[in-house]
Amino acid sequence: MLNRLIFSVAFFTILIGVIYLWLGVAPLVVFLTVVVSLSGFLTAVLLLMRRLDVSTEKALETAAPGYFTNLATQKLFVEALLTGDFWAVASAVAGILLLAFFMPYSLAKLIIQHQTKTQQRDET
Amino acid sequence: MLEYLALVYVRHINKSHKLYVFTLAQVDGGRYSLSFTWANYWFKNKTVYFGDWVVVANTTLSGYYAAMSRAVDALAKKWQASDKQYKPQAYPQMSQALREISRAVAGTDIDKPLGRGYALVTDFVWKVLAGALAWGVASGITTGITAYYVHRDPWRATRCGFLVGGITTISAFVSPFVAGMRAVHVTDATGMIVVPLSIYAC
Repeated sequence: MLNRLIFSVAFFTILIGVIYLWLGVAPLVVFLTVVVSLSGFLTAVLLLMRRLDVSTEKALETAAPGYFTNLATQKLFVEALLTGDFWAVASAVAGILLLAFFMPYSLAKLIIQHQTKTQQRDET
Repeated sequence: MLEYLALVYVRHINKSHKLYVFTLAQVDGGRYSLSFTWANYWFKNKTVYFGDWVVVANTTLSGYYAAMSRAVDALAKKWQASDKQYKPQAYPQMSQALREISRAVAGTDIDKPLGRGYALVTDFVWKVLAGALAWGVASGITTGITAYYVHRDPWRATRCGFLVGGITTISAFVSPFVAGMRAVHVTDATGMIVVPLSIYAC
């Protein structure tokens, strides 16, 4: 299962990178997009393992949907950072904090909490 | 011209517990060809929610409600059998309401043959929807503003903001629903659906 997840993460990272390059996006932007998204993903995995005490597999599994979404959206924020315009940089920083770093952890936490509670089936 | 029958049933059980049944049936030559029902049990401070699908074929409208009632009752017993600690609240109430609707509809002029009927039974917590909406709006605004500064194209910024906001809202809202699934499938679906849409819009 862990191998399947790692393959899935690597596969989508390479695929999206290639799509960006094929669409004519600058290699620096593609590289930074992957770096920002991957940083948020790894932060989420570490936070999930430390704060919710879940296994590496579970943390990777639940943080991955947020990571993939970020691979597709963070390019915009990286481009905004590179413009140097104050408001563009300000909105990009807000977007990176919200979507790249907070979103994968928050989404994964929600999934894990509901998985736990669903098992309890305490109210329906 | 398409013709539909809409039926709405609401029961206020108490201040924090309400039950809603919405049905939309497509009328086709003196019978219903297709119908869809959403039966929802609403908790104010609920922390868990579930959903199940029911499909009924070749019956009447009253038979459709009766079949849904039996199905919901069976589902409650199934969940109860899987966990002795589990005390069913929503599904027995839903089953009772559907049985009442079935009796009320039986013999009336709207009780016609039905080809195929679908139903989604859920018990729902408003906090998840409110949280998902707040989260989606924040994401949409941030992305939209950034897209405007990058592309200087209001239409593209709007499209991008709505898409990212919409996807974030939906994923936050449905994530508890898909929590029972292997997350790796959700992961793959996200990659294949969200990524091309976002690249296109932003």
